[in-house]
Amino acid sequence: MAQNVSPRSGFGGSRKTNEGVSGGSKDTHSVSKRLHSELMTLMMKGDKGISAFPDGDNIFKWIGTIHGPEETVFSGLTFKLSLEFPSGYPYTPPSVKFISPCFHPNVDTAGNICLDILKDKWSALLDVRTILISIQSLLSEPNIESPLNTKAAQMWKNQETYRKHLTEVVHKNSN
Amino acid sequence: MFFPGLHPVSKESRTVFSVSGSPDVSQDDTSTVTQRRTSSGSPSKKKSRPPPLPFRLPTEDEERAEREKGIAGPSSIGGGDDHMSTTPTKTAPPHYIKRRNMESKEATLRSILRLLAFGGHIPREAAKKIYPEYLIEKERLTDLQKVISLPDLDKCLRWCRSTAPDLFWSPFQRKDGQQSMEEWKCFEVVHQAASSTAVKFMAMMDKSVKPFSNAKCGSNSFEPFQFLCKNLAGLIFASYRKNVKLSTIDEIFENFYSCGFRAWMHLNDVSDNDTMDTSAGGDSCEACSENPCVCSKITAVFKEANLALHALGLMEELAGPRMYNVIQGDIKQHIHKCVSEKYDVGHLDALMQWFNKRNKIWIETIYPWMVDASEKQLKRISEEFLVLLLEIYGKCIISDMFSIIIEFPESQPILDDLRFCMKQVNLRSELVTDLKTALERRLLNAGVNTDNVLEAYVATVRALKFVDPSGILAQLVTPPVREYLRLREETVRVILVSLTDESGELAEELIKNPTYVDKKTVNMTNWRSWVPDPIDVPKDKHNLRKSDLIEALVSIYGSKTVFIDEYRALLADRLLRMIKPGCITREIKCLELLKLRFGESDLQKCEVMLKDVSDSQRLNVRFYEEEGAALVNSDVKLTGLVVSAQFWPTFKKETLELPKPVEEAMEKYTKAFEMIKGNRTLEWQKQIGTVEVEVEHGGTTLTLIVSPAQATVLWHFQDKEQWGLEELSQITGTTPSALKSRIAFWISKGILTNMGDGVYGLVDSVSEGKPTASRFTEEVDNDSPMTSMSTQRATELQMFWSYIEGMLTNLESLPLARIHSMLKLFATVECSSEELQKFLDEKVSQNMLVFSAGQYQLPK
Repeated sequence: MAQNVSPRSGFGGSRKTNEGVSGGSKDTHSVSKRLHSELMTLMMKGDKGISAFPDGDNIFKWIGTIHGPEETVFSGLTFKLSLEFPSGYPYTPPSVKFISPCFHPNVDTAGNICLDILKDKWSALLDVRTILISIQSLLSEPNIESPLNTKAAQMWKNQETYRKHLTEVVHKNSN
Repeated sequence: MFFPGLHPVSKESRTVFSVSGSPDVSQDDTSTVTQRRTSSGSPSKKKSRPPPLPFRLPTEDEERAEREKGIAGPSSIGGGDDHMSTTPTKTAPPHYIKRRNMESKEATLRSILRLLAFGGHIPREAAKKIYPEYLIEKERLTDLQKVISLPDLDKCLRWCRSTAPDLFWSPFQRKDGQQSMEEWKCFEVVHQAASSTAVKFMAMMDKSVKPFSNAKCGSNSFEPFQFLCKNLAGLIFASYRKNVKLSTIDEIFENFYSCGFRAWMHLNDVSDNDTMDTSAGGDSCEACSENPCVCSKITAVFKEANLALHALGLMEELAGPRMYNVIQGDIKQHIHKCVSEKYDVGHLDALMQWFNKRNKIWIETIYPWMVDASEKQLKRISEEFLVLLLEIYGKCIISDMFSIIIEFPESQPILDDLRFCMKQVNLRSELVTDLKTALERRLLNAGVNTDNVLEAYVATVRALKFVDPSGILAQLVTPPVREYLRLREETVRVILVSLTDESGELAEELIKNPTYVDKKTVNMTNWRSWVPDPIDVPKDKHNLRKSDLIEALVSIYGSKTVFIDEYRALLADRLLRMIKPGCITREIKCLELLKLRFGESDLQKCEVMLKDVSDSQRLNVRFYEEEGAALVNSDVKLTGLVVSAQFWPTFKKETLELPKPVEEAMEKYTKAFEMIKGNRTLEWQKQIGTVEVEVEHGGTTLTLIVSPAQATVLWHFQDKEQWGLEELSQITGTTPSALKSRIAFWISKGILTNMGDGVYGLVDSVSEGKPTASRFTEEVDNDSPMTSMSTQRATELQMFWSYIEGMLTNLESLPLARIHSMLKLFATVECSSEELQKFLDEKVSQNMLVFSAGQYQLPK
């Protein structure tokens, strides 16, 4: 837990929430520096199937792309995400949402993702790359126990119907 | 008879007199030209001068006679006092007129010319003087109608229209049949045409403008004159097409003027007096090729004709351009004669001297009545000629500009001249285009070495800055050279070598060094001296004007990073090539100078490199020389250069297995190092460095400094006399191709030989082992241990590509400008937009990108 607290905010300070963080300009500079280096590692590693890049000139707002993992119902599909970094990053998690429709047990219709590392399990050691990898693996291994999308959770048992639903209904227009 | 209003006229008439008087008088009266007076001949020479010229003013007696004859003459000549000085001329009537059988015309012509010349061209001052007089005389002077009746005017006009052009052009026409004309004849043609027309015109006017004697000074009586005169000039000028070919006119007039000037020069050029005097009988005169010399006659006629032309108003449009051609040709000839490829001396003084002499002649002959005219007018005319001279001189220099620039510091005097010319005449665009073409033609082609191009560039910038300290010229001329230099791969290296080499041309420039003066600050107290840039100067961001030479060179690349990187590579190369990590004071000095220029922070890495070298030196001393040193007893004396990997350029990856003893020595060294430096260890770059080998072969000993790889190869031949390529490459851990080049080195030294089938062996005896060829010799040696700039650039571009890929996967499609700005923002690697476009287009051609509608995107 301690690593999630910005050293600048001091030990006595209560833990800040995602929305409530308002860093000073000095913070902004260090955050953008961190984001720059994260971008660098992401670009240099060149992982297959995941990618992200700042959207426009603002480095606090990124667009991510995830290819559906092979040998799952999602293979061959691409998903776009938006990542928004608070000025308290990396001590507070970024808010990550699907932009493209994603029919998945842990993703609601608005694209919100139910993933522990983006909420209470967030750690400052995580970065964009690990977030994207986690989401990619979430696609193949959904948590059926706590679904945001119950219809998807029910359908998940039957992979063939799920795939059919995906290609014919959800991703009819894309790809 | 004596009206107050007469006074101005009599003044004018004096002017005429002094023009047409003997040259001696006029010379001495003219204070503006001094040269001539100093060089004028002895008194005896003056006596031999031709008798007075035709256009002296009529004396009072003559006037009276004329009036009795009924020929109109300006009756207004009064005040015999004015003409006291002319008494001698009265007794001796101008004899040349007799010869030319012109007496009957003379009186008329005289009055015509005077009236016409001054009627058409009253000097402003004179007009002012005349005006008040005119007011007084107003009542007595009649209206225009009284001076000339309208039918008469009409008659005059008709005459002008129908008769005058034919009259004027007929002499020209007659000669049309002949192909070429003798100069003398041309001369006559012009004279005849001008004077006969003038005479006829005057006779015409005389009839029509009846009360001529009443016209007096008559400001108003000049009006019909002026009117008709202008009419006449226009009609004559307009009608030449009908009658004569333009080329004929050109030829005739040019001959006329060149002949006239020549005669004048002959008579006046006192420096050549001894050989070219009129009295020098026997040989025919050089100027007029007649015997005896008729120069004096020519000059007289020449002046007369000029005056007549002027009177008819034909000077400016008809004769003027031709006259200018002649003068121009004259100047050109003279300049080419004296300048011809002598760049190390200025010619301006000599030219000015010559010019002053000539200028006087031109003015005296062409504008004869001007000699006494106001200083101002004289000045104006001579300035016109001076500009002509400077323009021709400037152009002459410009045409040879390239050679002048190449010889720059020596050619300074002539550039001084050019600077002077350019102050007076606008030659900038001429210089820019001419020099640009010269540079492109002679410099910017594949046959010229980069260092020569660079040298020329440096000389160009220096020379142009000398001519134009504001640097505008340099900025306009150099872009093609800069562009070209940028394309040459080794430019940076050449510049840096030149900068850092002690003997290099730029080394001194580096030492001069830049105090960072902010030149932008405008001196407000001195704002009057501010000169704005010409409007056509491009607003270049690398402004050559405010930078010195080195900055100008650096700006070829747009940024200093390329430079600094290359310098680092160069420095590393030098340091690694040092036989012993030794003398680096020179490098330190150089680095300090560069630091002043590029700033401390950018050169930090280089500083670390130099520090590494000196640290290593200390380390080696400690290992080998100090008491109780760790490595004192080792067999192989290995001196290490400990390099901080982060700060040195990346080395080429190359594997090499060194001989055992060396490896062992390295291990020992490493251990000793670890002892001293605690947590650190060494990673050896075995392929870099130098080895001093002593080869004893066939009785001779060869001491060589070679690379470790070369030494290793030879080492193995100690154990076994013959090695196959494969075998050897295994044991040394190098690739066969690299090995081959090492072996080739030893073959060239005559120590190894190719036995065929990829087997190499030691040369058996000395006789056999002659150095076969030197073609391989230095090749290997020059191999730089650093990865080349191009490969470094390639890795950089590869990084670009991953960024671009990331960008396009997430943001779908982007235009070039957006990609460029995003890269600048996020990738922090410098890259020009053009470079990026080239890179992207390459990717498009490799089908790794799709370009459509101005946007790049990844293929689906």
